[in-house]
Amino acid sequence: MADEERPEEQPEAKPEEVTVEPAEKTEEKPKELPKAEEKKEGAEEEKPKKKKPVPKSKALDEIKKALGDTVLKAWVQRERRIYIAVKGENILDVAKTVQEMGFDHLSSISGVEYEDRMESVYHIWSYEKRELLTIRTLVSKDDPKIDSVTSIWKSADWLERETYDLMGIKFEGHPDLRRILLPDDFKGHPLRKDFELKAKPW
Amino acid sequence: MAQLSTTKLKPNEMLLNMGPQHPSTHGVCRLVLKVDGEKALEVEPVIGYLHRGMEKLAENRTYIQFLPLTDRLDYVAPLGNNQVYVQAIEELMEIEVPERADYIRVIMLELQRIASHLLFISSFGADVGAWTVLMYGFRERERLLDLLEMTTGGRMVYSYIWPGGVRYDLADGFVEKCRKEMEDLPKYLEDYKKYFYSNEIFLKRCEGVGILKKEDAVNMGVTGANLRACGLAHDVRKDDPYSIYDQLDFKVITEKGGDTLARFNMRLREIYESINIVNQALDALPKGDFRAKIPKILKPPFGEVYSRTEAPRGELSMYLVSDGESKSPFRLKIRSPSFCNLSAFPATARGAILADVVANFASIDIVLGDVDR
Repeated sequence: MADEERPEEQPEAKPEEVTVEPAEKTEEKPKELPKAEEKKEGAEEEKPKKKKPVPKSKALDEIKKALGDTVLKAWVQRERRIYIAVKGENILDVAKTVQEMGFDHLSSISGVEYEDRMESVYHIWSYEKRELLTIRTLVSKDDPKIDSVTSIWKSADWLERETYDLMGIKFEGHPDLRRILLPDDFKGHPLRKDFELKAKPW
Repeated sequence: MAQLSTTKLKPNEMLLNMGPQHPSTHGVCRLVLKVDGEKALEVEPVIGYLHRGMEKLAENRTYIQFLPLTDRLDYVAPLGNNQVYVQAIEELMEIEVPERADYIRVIMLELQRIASHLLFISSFGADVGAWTVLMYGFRERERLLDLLEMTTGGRMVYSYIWPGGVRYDLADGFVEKCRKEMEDLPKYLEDYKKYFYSNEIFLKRCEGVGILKKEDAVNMGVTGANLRACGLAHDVRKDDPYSIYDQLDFKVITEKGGDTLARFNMRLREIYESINIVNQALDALPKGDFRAKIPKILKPPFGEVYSRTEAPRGELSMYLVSDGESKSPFRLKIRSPSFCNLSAFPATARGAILADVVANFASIDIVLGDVDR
């Protein structure tokens, strides 16, 4: 659910994991993640109070322990859905660590463009732990680039090419970063918010 | 554009284009092959011919307007696409689905899975030269499509699974007809088995072709029946259950070997398991509403959700981000099973004989609408 990462709107964010709060707890409030364009989420937050408690996740505790300060924020959304937020430049270390911990199936890579930042989001499933880890990484909007994780998961190859093609995030160290779905001579990256769909001229 | 080019060839090598229009590529997929005689040294899939920009379209439509478009992703199993999308909305908006709706969904999804696997069996037969079974498979699939048509009104695109439930209740007489079909189907499957497994040419063309090891499959993001064919028992319905799958009793089928034959066996055996699920759901079908009341205009609260399902082709997921203000998704990423399964294909096809490339390619069961989105 709501992943409101705006610290100022979370008066109740406590460092503890188990509360009766709907979505996620802010572990440490990230300095750079906030300030998305979502303004009035704070209000929506209050309503779903009486949800069932967010379960604890052993895997998440392990990850936090292994990564230490690299994790800007970590939270549990619901059973089998755990999230961490890290800086873009740390992705390679983080990926290596979580892969060694058993998160072996890179399910998808998505680029998301917010008003003030971009994010490269990795969804990683662990066949052994049966949990889905989401790594949200911050990427600068002016020069979107991040290290490639193809050396860790081969499935990242096409997924990164697709994200590069449609969103324009450059994956440094990718063996063969070129467009995959669109033609080579296509101009622009269609999933950017400033790319407008035009009606056909008839 | 393909990276393989004629400038880097040795004198005994040549480039061969298979597709974009080629019967064995099941749509508009192009395989660029570097061949030395009959041997394929390199294989490079070139995709994107069917790219419609679904993710961008989603951002420019309301939540409900995009639902019919999900039918066009994997057009061989559209109900699965409906399910994954609707599930994402429901999780974001915390919509409770009535129990009956969940049962109807599961019945429909499994019928769809059987229909999809039957299509696979038919077209796979055709790809390796067993043309008769093409007719058999389509004959049985037709009866399942009739069943689906009875309730959903559609035969190819359904838009049947709706936020909060399903669009219509089960048609009169559906349950009886469905039971009968589920009873008949195994008899036909026995025929298929006889047909395939007594055919030495078929076995020779499949055994040991395109072997994928378990570790590679995991690392390359292969999912679904292709992964289970390598021996890893993972099924999203079991390990990350959605809808009412956790209340049903079914087995996760696995095969050993990870070759083309194992992938074929997987689909054939999975049909039995699907029949089992449909029968259970029919037995336990509760009375009640088939759709919950939902707001006219869907406006999910701010948040994100990753919705995973086991589509006939593998793990189909959607990553939905809502900004809480607009009536359309802020971002919708579609993780399609065919795309990721296809990305592992070149590694298994390298060095094979040309004819084996075709059999191998057919066995991973991709749908180009799902690959290109």
